[in-house]
Order: sequence, then C-alpha cells, then structure tokens
Amino acid sequence: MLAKSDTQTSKVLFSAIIMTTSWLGAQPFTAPTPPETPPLSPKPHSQVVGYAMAQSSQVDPGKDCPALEAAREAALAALEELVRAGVITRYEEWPGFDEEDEEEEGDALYFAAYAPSRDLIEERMAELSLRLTKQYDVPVLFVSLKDA
Amino acid sequence: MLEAKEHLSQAVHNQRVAPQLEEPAPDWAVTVYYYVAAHVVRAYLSREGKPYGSHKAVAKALSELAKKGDLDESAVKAYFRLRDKSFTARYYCPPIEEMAQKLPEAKELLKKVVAHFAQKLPELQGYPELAQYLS
Repeated sequence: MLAKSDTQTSKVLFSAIIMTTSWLGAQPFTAPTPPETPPLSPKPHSQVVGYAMAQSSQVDPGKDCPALEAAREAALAALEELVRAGVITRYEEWPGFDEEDEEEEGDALYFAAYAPSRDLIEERMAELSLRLTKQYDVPVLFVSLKDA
Repeated sequence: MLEAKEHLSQAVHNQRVAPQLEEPAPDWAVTVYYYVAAHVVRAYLSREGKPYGSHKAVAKALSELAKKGDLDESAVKAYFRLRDKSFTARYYCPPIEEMAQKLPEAKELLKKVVAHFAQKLPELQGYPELAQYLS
C-alpha cells in the first residue's frame, strides 16, 4: 500500500523513479527535467509550420555521415507528407531527448510531431520510426504531442 | 552492462510497483509499465549480445532484429508506442484523468511486448509477475 501523506507518497514516487531508472547504472540519478528544447514552441502564425528553423541550428546536419543525412531527409519528407495529408499539424527536429546522453552508442535523429490528439498519430509515428530506422540503419525517434 | 537476469529482476520489481501507482499517479504508472517493457527488451538484447542502454541504441537494435525477421514488427511498434506514452506522461503534463484513461492501452501494449519477448526469452515465464501477461 502507498503511504497516505503527501510526503510519504512523494517518497514512494521518488523511489519508483529511482528504481525504474537504476538500470542506467553509470549515470547518477537526477529528477526528471524537461527536454533541452522547450516542451512547446511559441504558437505559430499558421497551423502548419513544418520544420522549425529555430531548432535546426541546434541539430547536427549530419554532413559527415551520409546515412544520417539521408535518414534525416527521409524523415523530414515523411513528416512533410503527414502535414500535407492533415495527419499532423506540425513537427520539429530536436537535438535529442534529455535522457539520451550515451554518445558512444551512436547518432540518432529526434522529432516531435504534433496533432490535435496524440492518440491519432502514435501508431503512425511508431511505424515511421521502425521503417526509417530499418531502412537507414540510423535510429529515428519520435514523440507524439498534442498541439495546443 | 547488466545481464539478462538482472534486467528481468528489475522488470519484476517495476511490475510490482506499477499497479500501486495506478490510482494515485496514473502518469507514473504508465512510465513504470514502460520500464517493465524496457527491462524485458534489454534482457533479450543482452542475451543477444547487444547490451545497450540508451533509447536510440535499443531502437536501432530492435529495428535491425525486426528487419532480419527475428522480431515481430507489431511487438517493436508496441514498444515504441509505450515509450512515446511514457515520454509524454513525464514531460508534457497531460491531465491526470487523461493518463488514467490511457492506462488500459499502456498495459495492452506492455502485454504485447512481454508476450512476444517471452517467446525469445523462455526464462521470463519463470517470473509470475511477468508471466501474467502471457495468458
């Protein structure tokens, strides 16, 4: 049973966080922090903003890695197609998820896709992630977010 | 890096904790259920000689194995979706009521992941906390 007081409940939850993340082993535990990029970009003037240039300067373009650049171009094209089809409203490329700091485990691409309901796109983004990662041998990860 | 047995022990531990969080903190329950799956998957990868820790390395390894036909694509997608839900739960402050509604789906995704990886990792069936997903 969980403790009833807020303090005790917090301790239990905090322990759960430690337990669930302890497999990371080498890295010291820190409380969850927001991603490096703001959770939500400023509301765009248009619903469809496509690739956010403000993000692009933070992202390694992958010039020295043809596979990474090819995967990135394919991901951007696929996302743009989803925007045109009305499946997602917009997307952003991120420099990484904050939990991803295992540099020795290789490069990866990270994108956030926005839709009126994340339930509508979660499956699509999982499919796209698997397809692109298989095709280019570069991890392409998505997070599905509800557009404000 | 951890061995398969250690990952499975942590998966069991997480499975014991997750149900206790469902009522007071469904968002954290979703996350802990994801970490059940995360450890089951890493147990399998460790056994396959791919003892990765990061999400990106795991995504790549799972995709490679799916491409080779060693893993069912639907199980890999279920894992990706559970990771996605967990990430949203942790960082995007969805209403608690909304996360409570997502719990059954998260558990279904976990069931799909565990059921598939149990075929690849027979010793998983020796852990009742995980074997419950096989029925």
